[in-house]
Parts: sequence; structure tokens; C-alpha cells
Amino acid sequence: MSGDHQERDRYELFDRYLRGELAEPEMERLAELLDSDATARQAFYEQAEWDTAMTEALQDNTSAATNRKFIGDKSGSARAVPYPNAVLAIAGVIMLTLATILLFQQPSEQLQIARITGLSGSHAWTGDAGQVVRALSVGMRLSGGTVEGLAPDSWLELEFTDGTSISMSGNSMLTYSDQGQKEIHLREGTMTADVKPQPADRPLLVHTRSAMLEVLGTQFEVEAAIASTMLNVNDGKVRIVRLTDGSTVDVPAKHRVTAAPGFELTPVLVPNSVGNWKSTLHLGPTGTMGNWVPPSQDGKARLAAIPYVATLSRNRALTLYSTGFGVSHGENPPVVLHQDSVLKVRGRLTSNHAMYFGVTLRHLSGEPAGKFQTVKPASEFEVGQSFEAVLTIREFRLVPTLIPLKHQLPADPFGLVVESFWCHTLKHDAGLEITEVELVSPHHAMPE
Amino acid sequence: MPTITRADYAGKTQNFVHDDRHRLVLKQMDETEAKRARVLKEALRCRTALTMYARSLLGNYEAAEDAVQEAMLVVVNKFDQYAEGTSMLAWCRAIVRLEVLRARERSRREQSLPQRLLDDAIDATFDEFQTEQRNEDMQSWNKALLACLGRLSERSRLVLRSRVVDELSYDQIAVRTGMTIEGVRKALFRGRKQVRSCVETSLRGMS
Repeated sequence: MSGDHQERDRYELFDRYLRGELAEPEMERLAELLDSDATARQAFYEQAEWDTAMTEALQDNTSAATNRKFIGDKSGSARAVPYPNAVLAIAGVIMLTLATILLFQQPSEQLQIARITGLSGSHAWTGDAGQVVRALSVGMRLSGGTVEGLAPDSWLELEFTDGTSISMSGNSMLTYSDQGQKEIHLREGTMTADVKPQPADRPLLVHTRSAMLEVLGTQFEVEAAIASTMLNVNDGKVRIVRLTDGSTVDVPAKHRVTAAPGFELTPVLVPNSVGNWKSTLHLGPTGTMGNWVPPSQDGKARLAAIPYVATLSRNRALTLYSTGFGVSHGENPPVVLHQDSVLKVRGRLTSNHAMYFGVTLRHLSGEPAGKFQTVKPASEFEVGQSFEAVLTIREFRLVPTLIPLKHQLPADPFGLVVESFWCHTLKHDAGLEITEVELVSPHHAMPE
Repeated sequence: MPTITRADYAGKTQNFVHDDRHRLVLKQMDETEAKRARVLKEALRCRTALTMYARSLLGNYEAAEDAVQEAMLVVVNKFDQYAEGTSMLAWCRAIVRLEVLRARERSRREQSLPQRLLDDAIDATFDEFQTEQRNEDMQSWNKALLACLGRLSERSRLVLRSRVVDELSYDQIAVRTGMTIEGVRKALFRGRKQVRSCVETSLRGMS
């Protein structure tokens, strides 16, 4: 490699680090470089120095002028800040104004009916008058509105003031309200609910495109697609009304029912869980998120990653290129992870980037159990070649965004139901295509 | 404990201001306020250097500015703990370091092992290279830097601005400018080299 290329590579490594773009293996490389090479340390320092100076110089005149006013004369003439207390007072006023603006960005306090108790991945909340908040955080109180999961790995849990909690995962979208009676409109996707006892004349109502559910107090999961609704009751009883013909049935605990044309509206026992599962991309894209490519003479059906924008804060977002597979969904039995479980992911990449593999989990009782993931460095994949990533479930860890909730979530993924599997690259489109995902649990092959 | 200002004190004790004891208190208050002003002024002169340090740890300019802003409020409150004559930059850097940790806690980002190793390496790098003198030198670049940025072509300036101010990724810049990603990477590398060499030449000419 020529000296110029080496210089540019090193420059880009520093540049990407200064913008938070490095994956962990690259961070390790950078730490080693700085530890072992004095020239690299100097180059890093100088690049940080130039970069910061250029950022400040290129910022627009207004903010530059404000900064100069606050910090004194940057030209080095040592002009004193004449009235530091006054400057601080002004800063205080600015901060107060900003705080006021932020306060007004929050949903109106009078209408707050729910609180976010768990969150991971990217979401958007739309409230009254179309106000949209993308930088959601745990503890935020919300008025009635619509929450949308923006990526396959999105997961959000809301708690109403009476302790009833609902959670949604993946690319789901639901609208909720509570004007004396709780109502949820699940447009699409999956939600689970743990409903505290409701007044007999005002049950919690869940509306989907194809069914309506009446709930007085129970635990259940609902999966809504365009023409079908799958209800899985874990505890208590839920009444479901099929909208196409008005037929009604009560679904008891440990039973499920599918409301869709052509399906008998009869509750059946939830099948026993299984430890093995394999994707069925050759049959079509049902239950997947991504760009499905049918099988051809050239090869198998595959699922290509599509970009999702994840909002990290008010002014910061990052793009992830993701694919997702529903695992325990529809008529399938619940798929459970065990200590000996291994995930085999087959696919291909067109450029080298670290890959994130993860699962969204729930308890057998239906309660959400968070998301676990493992990351594989770019060096483990050969560009343009098919890969098979063999991932033992033991190496999966709670995703970093859920670590603050770790005391409420299981410490490991064993014994939990896999709601979905997802994998993605961060910030860079690596041309990721998945041809098959397989979960193998050698000692738990049969239904349990 | 609420702080009483010199004006409050003088107002409350105006009938006794001739008293030596009160004069002594007022003198001490004058000295305290003078020290506060000195410390703040000196700390503010380190602001860019501190932003650069915070950015190196946080990987984001805006978050770095927030951390430095918080650190400046700490400086205002704890100015009396600064031992005059010692390095202001080192004192402020320690405060910024704590604010960086707080910022990470707020964003609920648990540090991975590589990140912790990298933090240590960056701290060592800043201990080695960031000096008061260098901070002063950096502030003297500003005029030359603005002139040199003005000499870049419009496209180079747009690419540079997209990266350093808007913090766009290489591919987002490619979309914004209609260039290839490789073209963006080259333009950034060359543009920065060009600016740096221009500033260094200007400063040599001035000296």
C-alpha cells in the first residue's frame, strides 16, 4: 500500500471515530494504534484539533457570532469577558428558553395517559395536532397518540396510569387512547398486553383491520396483518369479533385463534414450544422485513437488507440496513431458545462491515423479554462470497439500549420465545442478503 | 447554601459599612468575585480545546459542546477550588471528563471494553500533546483558517461543511453533492490537506 493510501486510511479511521462511526473492532484497532505509535497519537491529536477548528469556523455566522460573544475574542487578543455574571445570566435565560421549548415539545401534561417503560430501536410518536416526536426515551409521559416502530429491531413498552401495559415490536404501528375507556388500534404488526382489570362496562378494546377484541383483564398477544388477526391468549379470557361477518368467540387461556376469511373462528390449544426453526423464504416474504427476491435459476430466494433511519436524539440519526424474520408468528408453535441452541445464518455481503445479529424475545406467558444480540466483526466475512455465520445463543447479550432496564429483564435468553430474528449493518449498505436462517437446538428437537 | 453577593451584603449592612469588620468582609467578597471572573475568563479561553477533547471522547461535536457547556457551569460554581498558577486546561479537562461520563450515563450508553481502552489511549494522547501554549496557538489560527476556507472551491467547501458541520456520512454527502463515495472521500482528504497547508503557509508568512 502506498504511503498516500496509508495516510488516507489512517485519516479516515480518525475522521470516522470523531463522528462516532466506528464499530467495536475498529475501535480496538484504533486503541492499539494510539497505544503503540507516537506518530499516530500526534496525527490523531492534530486531526482532532484541525477538525474542531474547522467545525467552528464553518458554522454559520449567527452561531459563530454567538459563540464569540460567549467565549470572548478568539483572535487571542485576550479581551476579557467584562461582565461574567451578566454573561451567565444571559446563558441562563437562553437555557431557560431552550428548556421551555423542550417542555413544549413534550406532549401536553393534562392529557398524559401513558408512560414509556421500555424502549429499544427507532420509533416515532405522533400526538395531538400531528406533533411528531422521534427522540423518545424511557420515562417519557405521553398523551394519546400513535406509536410506530421504524425498524425490525424496534421494541417499545407503554404503561397506562392503571398499570395496564402494552408492548409492540418490529415495524408495528398502533394508536392508543384512554377517555374513560382504553382503545387501541393496531394497524399492523405485533403487540402484547398485560391488562389490569377494567370496568365491566368499559373493557379495553383492540381494533385491527379484521377484528375487534374486548378485554377485561388478561395477558395476550395480537398479530395484525392486512386481512388477518392472530390472537394468542396466555391468561384470562378475550372476546374476539371477526369484522367480516360479525361472528364472535371467547378465547380462553392457552388458546389461540385466527380471524381471517377462510379460517374457522374456533380457539385451538396453543401448540407446545419447539427448539428448532427454519426460515421459509422460498415460500414468499410472509413474516419478513426486507426486500424479498424470489428464487431463480441463479440461486435461492433471498431477503435483501433495506435502510431504516434510527433517531438517536433530536439532531442525530443513523441508518441501519436491516432484514427481519418473524419466528414464533402466525400458526407456528412458539420457538424457544435453549442453552445448546445455535443460530445458523446464511447469506452474502458485497462489502465488509461488522454485522449485528439479534433476537426479540418474550416469555412463554407473553410478557416481553427484551432483545439480545451478538456482533461479528467485518473480518469474519469475505466480500462477494456466501457466508454461514454459526452463532451460539450463549454469546447473545442484552442490547446496549436495554441495559438500563436489565433488572426488569432476563439476564440471558434461555427458555424464552423468539418473536423475531433480525440482522443489520450500521451506517453502511454492505449489500447484505440473507438466504436462510435456521435455529437448531440438538437436545430439544421435538415439541416440548 | 444560598450565596450572598457583595451588593446584597452591602445593602443589608449599609448602616455598619464603616465598621472595619464589614469592610474586611466586603474586601474578601471583592477578591472572591475577582477570582471568579479571572477563573471564568481563563476557562473560557480553553473552550475550543476542551470541545476538541470532549469530541474525541464522545464522537460527536454537538454532544461535546453540551458537555463543555455543563463543565463551564461547574467551573463557575467551583472556581474557588482552582489553584491559581496551576494549569487551567488540565483542571478544566478533568471537569470535562466527568461531564463526558455523565453525558454517557444520560444517553444510557454502557461503555464497551474497546471504548474504555480507547478512552484511556485518548486521555494519554491529550496529556502528551495538549498544552496551554498549543491552545493559545490554535486560537491564533482562526483568521487564517477562515481566509483559507474561503479559497476552497464551492464544491470542496460544501463537502467539507457537510462532513464537519452537518456530520453526514460519506454516502449521504455523495447523495447531497452528486459525487461518488470515493470522490467524496478523496475530496475530504484533499480539501483538509489544502486548508491545513494554506493556514500553515499564512502563519509562516505572518511570523
